[in-house]
Amino acid sequence: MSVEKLGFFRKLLIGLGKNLYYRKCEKVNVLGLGFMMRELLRDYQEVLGGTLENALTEFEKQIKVQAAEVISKLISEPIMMGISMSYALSRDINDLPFITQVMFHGMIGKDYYKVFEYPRLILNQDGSGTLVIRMKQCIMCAGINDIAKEDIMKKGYGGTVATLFGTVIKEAWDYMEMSYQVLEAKETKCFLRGDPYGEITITFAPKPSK
Amino acid sequence: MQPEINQTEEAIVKDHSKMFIGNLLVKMFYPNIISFFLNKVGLFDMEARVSDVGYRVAKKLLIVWAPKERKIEPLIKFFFKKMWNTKIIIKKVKSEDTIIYRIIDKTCRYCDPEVALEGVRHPCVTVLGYIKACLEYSSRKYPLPEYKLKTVNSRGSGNEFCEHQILFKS
Repeated sequence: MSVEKLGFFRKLLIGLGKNLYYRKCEKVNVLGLGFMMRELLRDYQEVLGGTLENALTEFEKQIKVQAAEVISKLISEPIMMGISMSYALSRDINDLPFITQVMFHGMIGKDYYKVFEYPRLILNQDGSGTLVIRMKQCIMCAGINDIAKEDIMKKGYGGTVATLFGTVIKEAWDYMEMSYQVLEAKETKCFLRGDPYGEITITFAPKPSK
Repeated sequence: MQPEINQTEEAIVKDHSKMFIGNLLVKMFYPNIISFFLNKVGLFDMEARVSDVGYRVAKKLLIVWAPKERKIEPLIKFFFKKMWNTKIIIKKVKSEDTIIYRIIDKTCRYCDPEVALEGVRHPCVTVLGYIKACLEYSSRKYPLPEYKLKTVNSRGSGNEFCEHQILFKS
């Protein structure tokens, strides 16, 4: 169902679709979710008997597997009026910021602009590139005040969200059999580490030819 | 556009307390959490832990939301609406020596009927913790008698709806 490039009319339909999807989907409170992650990580840390970093690593590992399953289903199966998420996909890499923004809207509703900036795409001459997602607020760490900078110096607190976004792009590209691969999805700026904004970077490159 | 960095932490928390995010995120990690605790600490401790997580989360949220409502039924309904944007049914069943509140949730955010978790009776047992925090909040104005909480039905284990019960001995 995906196209080579998103045209004006398709973008218009996607715009309507994302509103409908958000309105219809099951939801959970953003702050509640953030608090839940924090409390779960506390228990993970206790059970694993290690640091917050260990807990975060374990959590991310788990979410990667489950997210791939959930997302691939979402892309291929109808979610609304017989249409699947693949309708919003395009094979043109330049459409990636638009598609990512649609994902934010579908995820968090019309208030997405309070949290996310419009994603920036940096393309290199060799075909590789980076998608930079900046956050004005963090859905993971708002209201969290019991984590010291030192606890997350090596591993950012929002790595779970980075893993999630990376997985969405990977699954979408796999679905479309694109010639790109996601190399890494990581959090590069974090409010809890004292940065003035949150940032996730997703690096990608053309798949090596067989 | 430059990121807005002048919003206070308090304002952000207030903002987020009114925002909703797609529950897909929960579906992506909740089954793994249950399996993780089940493998590490066993069924009994897993239930206690996830329920306690719910309790701690709800306690923090009730501080932020500070609902004026303190009566059990409307308070729990308020909480479900704010936390999961869902409507629940609460039935009060009185007998000679007990009062049971049956909290019926047909759209539980933690249960996925398509994901069977082996050895788990009630995947949504975490909700008990949220209810416990609500009862504690209520008891500050209306002291409550001794009570017990239990989950009796879960969509995640094949039931039609999820049901949590509060048992008061009169």
